[in-house]
Amino acid sequence: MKKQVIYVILFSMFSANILAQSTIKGTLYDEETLKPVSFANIWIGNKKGTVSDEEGKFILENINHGNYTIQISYVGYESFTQKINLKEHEILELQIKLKPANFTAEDVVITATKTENYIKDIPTRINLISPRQIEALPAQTTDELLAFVPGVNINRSFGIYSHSAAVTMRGLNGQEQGRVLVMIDGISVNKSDGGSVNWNLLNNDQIDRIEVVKGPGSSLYGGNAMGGAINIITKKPTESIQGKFSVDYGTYNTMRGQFYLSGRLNPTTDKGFYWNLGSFYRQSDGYMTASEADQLANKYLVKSDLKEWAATAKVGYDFNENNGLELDMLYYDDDRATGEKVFQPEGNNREHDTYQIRAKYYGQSNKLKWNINLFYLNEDYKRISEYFKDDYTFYKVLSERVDLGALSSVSYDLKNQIVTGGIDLKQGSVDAKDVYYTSTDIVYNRGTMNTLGLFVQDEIKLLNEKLKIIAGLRFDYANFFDGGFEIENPTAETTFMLTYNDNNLKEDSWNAFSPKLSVQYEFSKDYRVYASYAKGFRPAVLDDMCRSGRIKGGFKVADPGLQPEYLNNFEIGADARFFQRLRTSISAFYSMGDDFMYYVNTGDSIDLGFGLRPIIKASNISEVEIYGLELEANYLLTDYIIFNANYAYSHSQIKEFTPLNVSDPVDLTGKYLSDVPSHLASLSVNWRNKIVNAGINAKYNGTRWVNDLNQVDEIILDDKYPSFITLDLKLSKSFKMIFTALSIQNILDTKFYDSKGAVCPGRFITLELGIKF
Amino acid sequence: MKTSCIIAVTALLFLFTQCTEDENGSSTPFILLKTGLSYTNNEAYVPVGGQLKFGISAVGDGFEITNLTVKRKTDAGSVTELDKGMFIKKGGLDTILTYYKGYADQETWVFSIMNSNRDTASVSMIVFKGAGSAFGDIDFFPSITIGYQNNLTLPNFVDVNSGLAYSGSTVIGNESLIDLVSYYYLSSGSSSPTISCPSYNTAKSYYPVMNEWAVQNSTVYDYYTTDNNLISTNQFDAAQNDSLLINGYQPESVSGTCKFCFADKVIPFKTGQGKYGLIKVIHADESDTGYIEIAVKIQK
Repeated sequence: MKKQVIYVILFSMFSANILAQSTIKGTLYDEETLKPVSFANIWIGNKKGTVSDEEGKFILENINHGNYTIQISYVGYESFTQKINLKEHEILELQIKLKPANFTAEDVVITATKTENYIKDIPTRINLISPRQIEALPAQTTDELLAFVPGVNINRSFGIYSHSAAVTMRGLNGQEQGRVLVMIDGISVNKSDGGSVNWNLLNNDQIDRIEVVKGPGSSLYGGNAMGGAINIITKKPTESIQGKFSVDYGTYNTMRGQFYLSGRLNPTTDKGFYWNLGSFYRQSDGYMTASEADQLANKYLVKSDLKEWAATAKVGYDFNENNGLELDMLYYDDDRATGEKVFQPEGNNREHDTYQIRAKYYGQSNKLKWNINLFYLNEDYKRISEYFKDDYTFYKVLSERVDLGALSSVSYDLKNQIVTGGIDLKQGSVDAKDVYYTSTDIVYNRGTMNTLGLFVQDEIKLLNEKLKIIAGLRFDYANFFDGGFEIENPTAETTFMLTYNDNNLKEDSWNAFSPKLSVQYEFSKDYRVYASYAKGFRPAVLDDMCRSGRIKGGFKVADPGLQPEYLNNFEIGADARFFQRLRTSISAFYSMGDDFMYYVNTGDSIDLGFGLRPIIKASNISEVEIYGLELEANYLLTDYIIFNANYAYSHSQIKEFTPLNVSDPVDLTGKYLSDVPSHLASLSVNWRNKIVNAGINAKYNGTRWVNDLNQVDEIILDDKYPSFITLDLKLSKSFKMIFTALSIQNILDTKFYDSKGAVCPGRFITLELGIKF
Repeated sequence: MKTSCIIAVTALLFLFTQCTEDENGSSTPFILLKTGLSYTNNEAYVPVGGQLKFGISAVGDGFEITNLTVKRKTDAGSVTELDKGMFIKKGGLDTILTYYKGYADQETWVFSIMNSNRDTASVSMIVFKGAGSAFGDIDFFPSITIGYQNNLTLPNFVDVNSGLAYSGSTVIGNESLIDLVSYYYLSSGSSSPTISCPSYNTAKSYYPVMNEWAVQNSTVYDYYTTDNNLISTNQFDAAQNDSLLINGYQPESVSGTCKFCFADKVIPFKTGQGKYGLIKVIHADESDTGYIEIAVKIQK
């Protein structure tokens, strides 16, 4: 009897609970075609989800009443989120129109103007890598996500084993990251020491989207934004808790574990605390990068392996939709062997211990918006170098590179124009030493560069917003100081450098004006043309200003008086959309570079211990002409199959070269810039279906000149690297919370080589398994 | 959730404050010179050209010995006779070095070691100039022809003590005798007939078989004297004893390879066994299938 009473009570409670629950019904449509969108993922909070049927309909039942955020995602469409208040017993019916996402003109970007704008409203060429594209690309590192952007040249010779990579564009030298600005959440991560960027330290799961602005962006961002600006924007939490845990395994016994967790205290409102945590660890046995001939000759050559891990954290508080504070931190540590081991336990290797901390305050009051960022980036770089030549040589390079500063911007929205201005302060410094362990030498170098930047920009809309004009100007003033190059206890390893021993390198300063004027006319929402002029610059890097030492081809002498190099860029472009499904764009640019820095012979020579070698100095000595063309087409074949094709041509030539020494036989006049493919093309297909989602990407990399002299290289035995084609594939499938993905990079196992004859990893297969919630 | 935020921030602050640089305590390496009839002793009188023989014993105090330096100090200055990188893990260093007495009335010889903790130790010895001179006899090989790496007919491997050249097949069993090989390549775009030795890594890329040799001799060549033509062919031809061989060799500018060995260059060298010599280049082709012809004078 007692049991029956209990059953009745329990049944009553359960029934009451069921009866008190509510339902959400809905239908999804394509905003442009008004056709139903099937198989899209629909989520309420982080627990309940479903998939739309063939008619685009979905139903979520047995939901407790309360505040929720409904989220809908599907490849080819922009993510949809809406806050809802579900009452008791309510059956909420929704009719939702999803925006096709690949038609990126509809997307809002911030990088080009420091204000939020649709891409189609900005008279500049901009490419956006959307969250869906990030999911569909088989990228191991962040730079590889950019590989299929028109005209973007990725230089990563050894895949994940590369200790450095460069992403360049617009016909600029493929090895020089310093000519393209890279930012994470609007803050530069190009280091002042060498202009380089550590592309290995971010986990792609943390990236929300990447904005690529082509052409000089120095009118807003100052130095480095010569060829363009890349802004990697990280995710901001939207739910009370969300996350992803995964492990993957791949070629060369590569293993990785990673997680990303985030949450908000009050997900249904615009204010409150939010946070995220992320980490990854990866290790790999690696492979022999050296050529077979080198392996035969050098018994100390070993595989180039890797270990790396990173941790990130972000906390923030939103006062309301437009006002908030955010603090983020990052730690990264790697250990990448570079393929030779004599006596040291790890052999030759490189480590980058990176610490980054940033704070942001942003707000809005009526028509005034502001944004203030503080940043501190410290990279402790360590290189162990050992080799056996005449005898055993072992030394370490220890370099502390620090970049810190404050960036601020304010914009005011007038009726038909937005005026933006700001002040940026930055200090970059390097404090480095080469410590020899097989001789007594220690070589020190150090230097600091302070930069002050002031900018103003006006965005004007006329003729019922059909005509848009952006005018901007930035002034940068920089001061180099506290430079020194010293040698302690020199032996034959370094005695030859004593001439350049100077504990008090000459201070120097420079300034740069960076104007920009761009105009566009929009004939209709499907057609627009634009024209733009912009001037960009790249400051000299500290490494060239305060470090002397051996480089390929001779001995480099520091020059603290190096000045920036400049690029004047003229550009025209047009966008057109046909039949709703085909979007095309074309851009043509012409650039003249002044004071480009090249390593040139001073006319003197030095005995480096292996005979006389030329003394080389980075100098502002050449004028460069670059012109090119970029074409892109996106076609939505069906709601589930998207094609992208693009092609880029560039012609990069030195027009005038003034040697430092009249007797220098080297004349680069008429030579082509090295490491720049004249032709780049790619074709991508993204197919979403019930069985498995597939992304296939093919890329053609044209020939590139091996060296500045355009001469036959002793190792490559040619003056150009050969062209090559790569084909990548990613297949993915989700089973509710569980997901799996198979990535195959370089399916054709194409082998390509760097200037030392070292080979790429070839086909690289990774299988990932994880949960998402 | 607040707790997780605090933990994350604390963990990252901890990471930010950690020291990453290698830090070791100091150590006390030790070096001594052996004494006895077999070695040159402190304050010994040795005639010009007489052999100096130093027995060295050293330990790294728990760290590997990574460098041995030998300096000859006279009123005229200091010359680094040896600055050798090494990595001796266990048992320390035990070696014998031979040099020859110079013209100075008094020479102070300083022997230093460094360990992998960059701690150092030194010991020194004074040697006075004795009466007379003791320059020794030499062997002369007027013509040795050596094929470059892609020359399939001429021998590639040379024993400078005997003046014999060996081919790929005849060198088998004689690897420990080989002091010199030659190859041709473009060095930074410049044509370079080159001579080298079995232990030099680059030479092994042209003759990979040398990787397998149990003994890979280290001959070092004075490239500074060679590059600057400090010894003429007439001086080479006139040398009757080892005076020019010893005094023409500048130990601070030596390498296991010598580039740009064109005809009429004279190259001072020192073999792995400590013998001094001179090479005169008679002929040098500028093609990797060609050959180089040399004359050699070497201490007996």
